[in-house]
Amino acid sequence: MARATRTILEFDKDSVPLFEKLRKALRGEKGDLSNKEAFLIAVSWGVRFDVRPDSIKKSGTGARVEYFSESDTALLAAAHFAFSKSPESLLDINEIHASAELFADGGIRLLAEEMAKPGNFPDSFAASVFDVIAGMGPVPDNEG
Amino acid sequence: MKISRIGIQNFRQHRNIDLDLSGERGNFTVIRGLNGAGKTNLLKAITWCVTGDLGRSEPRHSPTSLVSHGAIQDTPVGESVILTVELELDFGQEERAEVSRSLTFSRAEGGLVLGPASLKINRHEAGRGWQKEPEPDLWLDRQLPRRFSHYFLFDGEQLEKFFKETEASYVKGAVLEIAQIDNLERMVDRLQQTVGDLTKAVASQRQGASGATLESTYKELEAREEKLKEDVSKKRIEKAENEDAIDKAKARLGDVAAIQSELKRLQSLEIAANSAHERAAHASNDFYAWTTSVAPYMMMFKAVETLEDEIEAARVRKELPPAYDPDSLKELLKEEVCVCGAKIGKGSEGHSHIQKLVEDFSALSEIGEALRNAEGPLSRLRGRFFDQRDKAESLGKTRADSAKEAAEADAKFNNLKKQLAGHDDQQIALIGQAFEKALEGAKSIERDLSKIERELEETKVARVKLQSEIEAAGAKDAKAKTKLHELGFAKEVFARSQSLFDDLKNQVRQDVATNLDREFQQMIWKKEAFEPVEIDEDYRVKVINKLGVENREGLSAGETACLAFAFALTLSRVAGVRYPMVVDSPLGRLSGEVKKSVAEVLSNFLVSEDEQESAQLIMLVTDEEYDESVSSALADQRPLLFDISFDQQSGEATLEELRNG
Repeated sequence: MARATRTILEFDKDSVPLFEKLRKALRGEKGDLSNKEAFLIAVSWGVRFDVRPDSIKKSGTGARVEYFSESDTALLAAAHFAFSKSPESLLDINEIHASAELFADGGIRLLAEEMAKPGNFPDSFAASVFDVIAGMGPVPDNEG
Repeated sequence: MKISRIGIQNFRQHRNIDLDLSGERGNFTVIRGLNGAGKTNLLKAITWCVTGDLGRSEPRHSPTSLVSHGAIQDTPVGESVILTVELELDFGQEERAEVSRSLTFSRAEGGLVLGPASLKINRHEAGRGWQKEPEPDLWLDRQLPRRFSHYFLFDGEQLEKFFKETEASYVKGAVLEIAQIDNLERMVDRLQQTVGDLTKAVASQRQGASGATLESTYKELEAREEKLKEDVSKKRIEKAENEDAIDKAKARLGDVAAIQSELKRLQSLEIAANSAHERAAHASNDFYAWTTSVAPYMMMFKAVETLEDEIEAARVRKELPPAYDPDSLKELLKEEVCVCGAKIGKGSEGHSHIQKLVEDFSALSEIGEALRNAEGPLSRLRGRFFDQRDKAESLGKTRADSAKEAAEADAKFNNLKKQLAGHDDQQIALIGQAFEKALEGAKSIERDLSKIERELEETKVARVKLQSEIEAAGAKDAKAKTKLHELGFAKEVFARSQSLFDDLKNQVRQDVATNLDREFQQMIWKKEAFEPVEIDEDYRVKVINKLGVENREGLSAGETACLAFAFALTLSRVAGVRYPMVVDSPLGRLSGEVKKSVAEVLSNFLVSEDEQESAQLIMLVTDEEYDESVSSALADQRPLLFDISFDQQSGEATLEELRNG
């Protein structure tokens, strides 16, 4: 696997305020969300709703790669595989990171729309999560 | 009245005297003797017989001093000595009395022991013969009044004491008694006593409040009771009004209390609601934090599943390396050691199995390795999906429950708040204060009421008690009224009796004074020297000279003797009884012409022709008194003359009659 060359998974230049807004709108483990947490949430939204722009405008700000755990990276790989459908795409971490940046931007825009709606955003956010949970189905035999 | 016989046994030096003075010859007796012969004791013996004492010259004596020493000496121890003086009184008309007074003594070693005393009187009346007088003392005092005995049985030596200021009571007694109005005086005294007793009785009956006073007090109590009843009624009305007010206040207070309670409940609900909200917030926060934390992998559940499926397919395609690194497995084969550490020799089943794995995965691709590297973390993520799904349910339920709880608390709070709209603590406090004040007022009214009721009860009791007192007082007043009537009557009788008595007394006093003056003026030789003799209202005999000065104290001895004889004679005249006069030494202090003049006065005393009954004079004189001049002055009266002498040897006096010569 190619070595990662990025140190930051960047937000789109236009989406930086959206990430800021998301960080404030939701609560993380230590208060406001970290960039990494916001980034991952945005990626998951982008993946879930399959929204992925073709490119972003680099902003120089985003989530530092060093903060991503093995699981986080596995999630980013899964996200990229969902788009690429090619196991070979998993061989390049930089490609995975770039794909994540695109999903993140797609996700943040969706979330921004949601945040802009009247009502309680965390509730609508939670409702989205619970929709997924409701659709998870029974626990597989080899689990739990 | 005259003494017709004198008998004396064992009286001092007179051991046995028996003088017969009966008949006219006994009307004038002169007993002459030296000093100490026994003249005075003869007078005392007569006085003792008549009065029971020895006269004013010897006011106190012991009975044994009366007994003759000779008799005592002659009486053996154990025997009795009887002292007796007997007088025979002749009232004329065959009326006579024998008076015998005696004392009996027992002779003892140490002297005499007094025995019984007796006074016996036998009376003789024409046609009735001799009879014993049942009340000798009374009879004797009536015949020879003791109170003025010293005016007819007197010691000339004592003449100077006659009519002194201190004698006034004697004069009064004598005057009243001889007029026989002493009983009237006693009656008046008794009446006065009765008046005093009745006055006390009336006062006693009237002691304490009278019926009228009680009635007045009763009316006051009645009025007081009425007033108190009114007060009670007013207070009861006031109480009822206050109770009404209290009831209203209580009702309000009940509301307020309920409101207070509800307000407190509201506070509790508010707290509960806040708490529920806090819990709900916590639950929400927990929920939001959880959703935030699980959101990335939950949202990528499908993506993760897709990749896992790809890995599984790669495993089926045997594109994935074994669980153990092939190079490491090769090393183990060389050393013939199993992954579990057991020895596996060449050719053994284990050795062959590991060798086959190494051969199978010898051509592993880079993709397979990449997939295998992702497999672990994805597997862990997958595990978390279902774990977190369970937690999601729990968190969601907790959140929903707490939200519901908060909503319910809000509803309760808001509902109550709506009900309590318009009430506040200050308003409630004011109502509470008003109620407390009303309660205090009620207590005050209750206190006042019970005080008035108590006072009313006490007044009632007092009034009822007073009613019975009034009834008792009524009876008492009736008694007092009766007593008052009696008192009025007694006072009236007393006043009339007193007036009558005073009139009589003054009349007698004036009568005695007139007689006294007449006798005195006749006796004295210095005619025209004195104004009429008076007896004033206090029974003091007053002799006023021509200069208008009261001069009784300045009278000569002869004039004093004349005044005494005149008074004695006056008493006799006023009483209508000629008392026998026994005089000791009537002339002893007189001399010369005066003595002769007094002797003539005495002579005249005997020959007074006014008297229906003859007078009797017994003179006890010394030889010096009974000198020639006296003897010649009295010669016409032909006195019965005795010599009295005392025998030193026998200690006994003897009397010897001398023939007038």
